[in-house]
Amino acid sequence: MNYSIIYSALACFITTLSYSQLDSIQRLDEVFVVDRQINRFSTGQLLQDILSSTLQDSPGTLTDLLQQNNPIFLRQNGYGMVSSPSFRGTTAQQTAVVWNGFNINSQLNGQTDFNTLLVDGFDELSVRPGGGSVIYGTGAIGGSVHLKNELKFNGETKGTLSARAGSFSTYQNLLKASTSTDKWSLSLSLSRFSSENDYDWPGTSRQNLNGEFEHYNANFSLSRKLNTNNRITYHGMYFNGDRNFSLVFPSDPPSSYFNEDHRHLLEWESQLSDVTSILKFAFFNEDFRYTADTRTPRPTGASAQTLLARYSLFYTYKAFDFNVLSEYNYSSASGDNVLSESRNIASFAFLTKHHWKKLTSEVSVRQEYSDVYDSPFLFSGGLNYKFSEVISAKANVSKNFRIPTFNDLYWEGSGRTDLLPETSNQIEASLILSDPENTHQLSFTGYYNDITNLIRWIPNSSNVWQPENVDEVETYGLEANLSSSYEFGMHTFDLRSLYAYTISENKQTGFQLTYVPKHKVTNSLTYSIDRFSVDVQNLYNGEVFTRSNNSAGDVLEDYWLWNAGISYTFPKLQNLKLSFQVRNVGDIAYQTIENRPLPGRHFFIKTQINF
Amino acid sequence: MNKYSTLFLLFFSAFIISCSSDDDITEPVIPDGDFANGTLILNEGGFSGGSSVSFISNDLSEVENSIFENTNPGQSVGLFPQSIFFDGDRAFIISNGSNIISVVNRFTFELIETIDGDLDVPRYGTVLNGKVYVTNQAAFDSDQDDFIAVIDLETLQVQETFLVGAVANHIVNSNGIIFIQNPSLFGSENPVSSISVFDPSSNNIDEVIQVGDDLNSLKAFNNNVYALDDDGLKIINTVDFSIETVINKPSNLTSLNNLRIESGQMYYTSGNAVYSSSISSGELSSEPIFDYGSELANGALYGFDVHEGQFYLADAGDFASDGTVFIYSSSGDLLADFTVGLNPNGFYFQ
Repeated sequence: MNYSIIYSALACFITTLSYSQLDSIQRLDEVFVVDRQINRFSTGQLLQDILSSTLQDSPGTLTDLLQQNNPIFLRQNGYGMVSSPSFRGTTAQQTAVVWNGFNINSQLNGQTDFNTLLVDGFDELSVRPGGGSVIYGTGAIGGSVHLKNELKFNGETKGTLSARAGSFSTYQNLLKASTSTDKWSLSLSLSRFSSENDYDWPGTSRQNLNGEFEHYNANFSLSRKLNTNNRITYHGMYFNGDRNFSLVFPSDPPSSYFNEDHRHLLEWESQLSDVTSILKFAFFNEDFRYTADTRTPRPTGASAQTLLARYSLFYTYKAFDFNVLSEYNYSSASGDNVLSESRNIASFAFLTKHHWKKLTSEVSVRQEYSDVYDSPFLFSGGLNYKFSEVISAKANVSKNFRIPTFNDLYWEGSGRTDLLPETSNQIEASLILSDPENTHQLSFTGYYNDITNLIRWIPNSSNVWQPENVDEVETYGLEANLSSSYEFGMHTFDLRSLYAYTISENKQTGFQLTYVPKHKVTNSLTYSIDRFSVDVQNLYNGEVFTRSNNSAGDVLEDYWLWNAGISYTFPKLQNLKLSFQVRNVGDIAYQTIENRPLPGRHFFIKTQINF
Repeated sequence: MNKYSTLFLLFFSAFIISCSSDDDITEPVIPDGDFANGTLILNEGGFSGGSSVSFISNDLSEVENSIFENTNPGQSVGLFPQSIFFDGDRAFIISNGSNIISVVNRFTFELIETIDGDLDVPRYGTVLNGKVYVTNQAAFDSDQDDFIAVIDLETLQVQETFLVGAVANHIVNSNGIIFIQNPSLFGSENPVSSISVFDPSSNNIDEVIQVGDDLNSLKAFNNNVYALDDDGLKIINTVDFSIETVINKPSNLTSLNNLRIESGQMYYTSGNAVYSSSISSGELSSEPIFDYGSELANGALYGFDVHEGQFYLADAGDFASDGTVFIYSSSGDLLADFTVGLNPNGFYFQ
């Protein structure tokens, strides 16, 4: 079925309806985001913000988006299949995914599958390298990825409608709309992404089999100002993903995976003279069903629920910013292999920041109490110093953790409740050079991260797989980022480059962790003239080891990947933007997991209307 | 296991049931080929492949890894190869993750044919009268869909399949009768083990012999079938299918595994220690010949065999690195060690 035709027809219909409302614009430009900590309390760390236009221009899932311009290495079991991050050389459970200020890593396995997030409907995404457990809790060791919804009270009504179609019967559609008055604000988005995903494996006579998927994502946000000091806000998201899992060999049993997650957040913000008081309630539900063989379907699955209450106070006194956080978290899980259990966690955090001339300093602490395991005292200290208009420096030191998951604790016959959280002590420093207008920026970051008590599943003496706090890992590396914009009359150039050097060593053996490339390079160049733009991207991932003993014969070779695109906007056609993209221009054969080839050269065409 | 979704655990736990070799050499074979004089090691790999076959020469001077892939470029033995059986100069490599049996020349390792179709998680095979009987576990969460696939050794086609009615794993033949190990269903709350007796002339399950929990080895020897379970060793009469002899497990050992019989001796393991008893002694020794304290971090015994008085031990280490094979003398002295492939699970002697 051709979805682009259907959506284009729908686009015209909706566009006509909404166009008439544009005349009552009141410009207030107040952008309201419920994750208040990320910009206030990230002293010493280099945030990278990805704007909604980039989210919409990047085809695919969070995996596709974060490969470019980010030090994160993402490994996929074939395109669109299970995707795990390695951020600064850490494990998949050591990257926190944060939705509107709340950690949404799975309660069951502690990680987020980056192919189960469609992000084109979000308003902003931030990547925050380095520790963040004081604010974002478990798993913020290598770094965190923040999905944000924005609400505006500017009286504006606008929307975006896009349809992308491409190779392997891939379709992606987005409807995003928002409207507001000075008291109400409403925003919603609907995304769909599907593909037959039957690409040829480059360099072989094989084809990707049983890889089809169909994902839906919905975001809904609503806010109401009760009076000048009080505001109630709701954010909700829903994800529904239906995937088959690609086969390694054609005779493997075809398996499938269905997951459905929904998350809700309600907050009441109250402004009391100098103090901002925020009460939040959140409810998250995750649910999956796995079918080992779809020819004789007998799905097994599990679900987990999380209930959260968080109260925080923000207070500004002279040059100080304070934030007190207290949170109660109740989670429960049950499933075919996980015992029905629940867990209570209470946590308290105190964050403080001080500005003094060119120096900003921050000290934050957090203590958690759980009825299952002992939590370490967590802290973070950061400094920003501006030497001059063009040179500044940052430094941060922190202690972070990753708590045992429900699988670790309660897996039938294997789980252990005597596990300790994984802990990480880390330090980083950055030097930032920029011109006064910030059109060119070059930064260097070095970090060191010492991680202990890593939980690994290994067979015990009776050959039963059990989790154990066995590993110690040391990671260190260097990240260099360059961003540059040039304008010559009508011509605009935008350049972004990144180089990441990553060492991640098992301290007992001295070997590099598997699937952590030592070198990663990405470059993107965009050239625009008037309504026409061309962009070219490349990506280099260095060789990775697939065996923990770093055996020389068991590696995935390094590769350079090139993408290119052109787009043109037709002003007379509702600002219709037409783009054409080629991915993997060189048609190179590459893998991010052993025996899981990724697509060769493929194409997308996309139409987008903003109204 | 950073790749470690919850599914992983279900899978791997099911794959870790101990392994053994079943040599069924019924006709004289003239060995001729690069791999004629030595030992084959099957490496089961992981969820994304990495499976392979290694070869160690008889003089223990060298190891060659990935002999199947090197001999047959672009081919693979499939996911989770579980076992190998021989028929004359052919070796049959059973892949339980990819539902195929790769038939190769046993001595050159050249691929002759790949048997697929009508297999569903195939595990072990035994050769009898021109046919091979292969156990298939089908769904891991069901004990009612396990079956035997009967493959004609001439046509290499699955001729027939027969439901077993219980979990089907190891399979041996003795006295013209097929014996199938029925371990308890994975994750079962009431673990029960039994041995199904399959008569190949009538294609019927004639009898189900109830044994103790944790039945883990099945060996055909001297017209009897020997089995290890929680009680100890059971010797089964292959004519009337009665349990002829029970030799109790030594009280200081928690479990017995990896039964092997060679030159009048029975060998078995408990934990990481190796024991032996004379077949005629009427009791099981509780004194280890040697204790194999793994030299690898978190390593544990994953494959074990005995050949000409020497012990072959496979250590899968952390199950994410290349495994190691250790060869010990009959008195427990380390003779050699070799780095092999990912997750070595069994030995096959040429």
